[in-house]
Order: sequence, then structure tokens, then C-alpha cells
Amino acid sequence: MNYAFATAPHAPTHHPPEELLLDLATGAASASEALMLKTHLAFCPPCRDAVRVLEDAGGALLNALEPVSLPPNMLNRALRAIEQSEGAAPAPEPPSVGSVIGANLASTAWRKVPGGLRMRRVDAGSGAPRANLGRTESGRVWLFEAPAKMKMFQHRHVGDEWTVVLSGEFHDGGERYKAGDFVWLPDGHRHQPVMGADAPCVGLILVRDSPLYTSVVGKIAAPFIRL
Amino acid sequence: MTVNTADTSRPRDYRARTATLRLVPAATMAFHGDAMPAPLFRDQPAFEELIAAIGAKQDRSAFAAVFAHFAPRVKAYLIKSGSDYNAADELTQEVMLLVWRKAARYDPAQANAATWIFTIARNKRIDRFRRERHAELDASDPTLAPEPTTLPDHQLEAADQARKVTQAVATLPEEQASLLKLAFYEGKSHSAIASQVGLPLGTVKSRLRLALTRLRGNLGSDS
Repeated sequence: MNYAFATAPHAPTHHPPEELLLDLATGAASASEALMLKTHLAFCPPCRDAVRVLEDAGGALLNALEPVSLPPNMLNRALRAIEQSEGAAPAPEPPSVGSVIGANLASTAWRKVPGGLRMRRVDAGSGAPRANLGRTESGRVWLFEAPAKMKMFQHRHVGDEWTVVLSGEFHDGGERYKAGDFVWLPDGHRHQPVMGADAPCVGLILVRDSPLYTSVVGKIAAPFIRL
Repeated sequence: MTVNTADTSRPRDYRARTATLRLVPAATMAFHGDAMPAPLFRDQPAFEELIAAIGAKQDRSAFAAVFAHFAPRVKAYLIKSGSDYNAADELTQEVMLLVWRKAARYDPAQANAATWIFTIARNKRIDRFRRERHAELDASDPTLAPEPTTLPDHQLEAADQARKVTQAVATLPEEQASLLKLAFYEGKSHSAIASQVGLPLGTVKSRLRLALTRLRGNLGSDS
């Protein structure tokens, strides 16, 4: 189940800064960050090309590494493992960006926030359930749906905030953000988004953990309910 | 193992080309483990053909040749990114088995062999060390915004781009190359790199930005 990916012909005009695309290519991005960036990539062929160039650099650097010798018979062991897996079910593929969002739509409920806004938690690190050890996640992804014309209270963010619009649009600081646009607001940015007039605005938002609010919901709801 | 052997999307002369290639990698079966000589196939196109042969007909000699070149480099990458030697052997094995399993879906128009194997090794590293599994963009997803242009030969285009990027990486000034290597080999963010090398964050950012401009700038400029 895909969540209305790229149904609009609109080509994104707001892109992630290059350093975030580099984090994606090197593997420095967290699962949440990767989900946000790849959602934008689904809309944006030029950014897909840019990531491909960076991954080519990764390939070139891999090729340039001084080889480290392997124990004898590694190849034979690999070939034996291949023989043994013959006929076995293929390894599960990583989930697609669309299926991650879709799976969350199926398994989580909307949480209502005053002002008509609805939000849903998206677990970006999906796949096999694992221990939380070593997890470097800093922030949570939420799917939001804001009614047309909704005007948020002016608020200031602690930590940077990323948004990807899936459908509809919102206006902020003289800019118009439409489907596929990636909005990166720096730490401490003060703003007051207003939703477009024609349709609800749906998108993904990555909100950083912050010591100021005690719950993630509270943190997100804060701008709307004047915490 | 489910492999689509009736793949009609490949170039028409594909079988002819791999038929001539088969003779060469078959010789690599004479070598075992780390006794295998360093790269038998330095020409970039060969590895793409070999991976295609693994995917199309489970060609073990093609796999042996890919293994001989890439496995020791994948191990080097995993060690640089924090794995100890024993774990690196196991992880390298897992990466190479993924190369075998994913070969049927390898598309040389999307990535050259080194790039493709880098992404597999990178994802394995994220999976193992960060306990995360990242969602993938599925190129066959019909809802993906289509590429704006259809070029006559994507495969040549991908190979050409990889060659230019490789050249750009090789000629980066040392102060940029060293930071780019930290980013790729250790999967570090800008701020982590800054604290590791003891440079101000702004300096790291501007040097990496210059490096990325060169990677991009080399594309198309001399074609």
C-alpha cells in the first residue's frame, strides 16, 4: 500500500542540502533520516542522480582500498553455502519506502491534535524486530494531515526539523511547499506555517528529541496547543 | 533460489558477450581462498558482465572472479568502519552471498559493479552495527516519479559517470580526500568527522562541499 507517492506531476523545487544526501550515501543517516530523504528521492529524479554520483564515489573508494587477505577457503565456503541454499526461499528484501509508510498506516491509529491536525507515528527502522542496542536514532517520523487553510501558532524548534510534503501544500516564510518538497529548518528557526486553501496538507515530519517537552506527542502538539 | 532466467530486458547481444567471457573466469577456479591473485579483471565492464552472468545462469566461475577482487576490499571496508578481523570475515561472507542472491536483480544501467557492491556492504554495515534496517527505494515502483529523459544507452551512461567520478576521487586534494574517506569508510556525519580530526565544523563542511562540487563538476565537463 503506497501513500499517494508522486501522484502529482509537480517536480519538487525544494531539495535536501547536499550534506544530507552525503549522509545517505555514506550510511551516516539514521533510519528516520533515510526514510525522509528517500521519500523526497521518490519524487525527485535529479536528487536520485546526485545520490548515484555520491554512491559512485563510494564504489571508487571501495575499489581503492588496500585488499585485506581472507582466510583460506573463504570462496569454497561461500560456494558451499550457495549450494546449501539452493532451492531455499530467497532472502527477504528490505522494505520499500512506500511499504514502510503503508505498513504504519495499517498498524497505527491517528492521534488527534487540537486544530484539526492528525498525526501518526511511522517506524522508520522497520524490518526484523531487533534489540535497541546501539541505535543511533535521534528523532521520530510522523505522518501528518493538516486541514486546508489551517494556520499554526508561531513557534520555535529545538533541533532541526525536516518535512516532506506528500500532497497538498503549505506556505511558510514566503515560500510555497508542494508535493515532494523537502523542507529543512535549522535549529532555533521561528516560523508559522499555513496550509494551502484547496486541500488538506499531508506529509512526513521528522522531529528531534528535545528535553523541553516530556512526550513526543506533546512536543509535536506544542505549536498547536500553545504548550 | 528463484532466479528469473527468462529476463528479456537485457540487451539482445548479452548471451553472445557473456559466452566469450566465460572462457576467462573459468580459469580462476584453479585458485582457492587468499591464494587467488589480485584483480584478474581490471577493466570496469568485465565485473558488470560477470555479475549479470551470476544473475542469469548462476555462473560460479563468474562469482569466483567477483569474489577474488571484491571480497578482500569489502573486508578492508568493514574493518575501517569498526569491525574486528573475525567479525569482518563473517560479514564479508554475508555481503558476498548477498551479491550472489541479488545478482539477478542487478541493473548495470543503475550502477557499476563497485558502486553496487559498495551499497550492499554499506547496508550490511548499517544493519549489523546500528541495528537498523533502512527502507529502500524500489526502482520498479510504478509510483516513483519517472526519470525525465530516456537516454539511448543507460548502461554506457552509468559506466561513463562512474569512470568520471572515480577520476575525480583520485585527483581530489588530500585535505578533501581524507575527509571524504572518513565519511565513506567510517560512515561518519560532518560533526563526528569534525570532532575526530579536530577541525571546526565549518571547515569540514566547506571542504566536503568542495569535494562534492568536484565530483559533480567532473561530470559532463570533459565529455
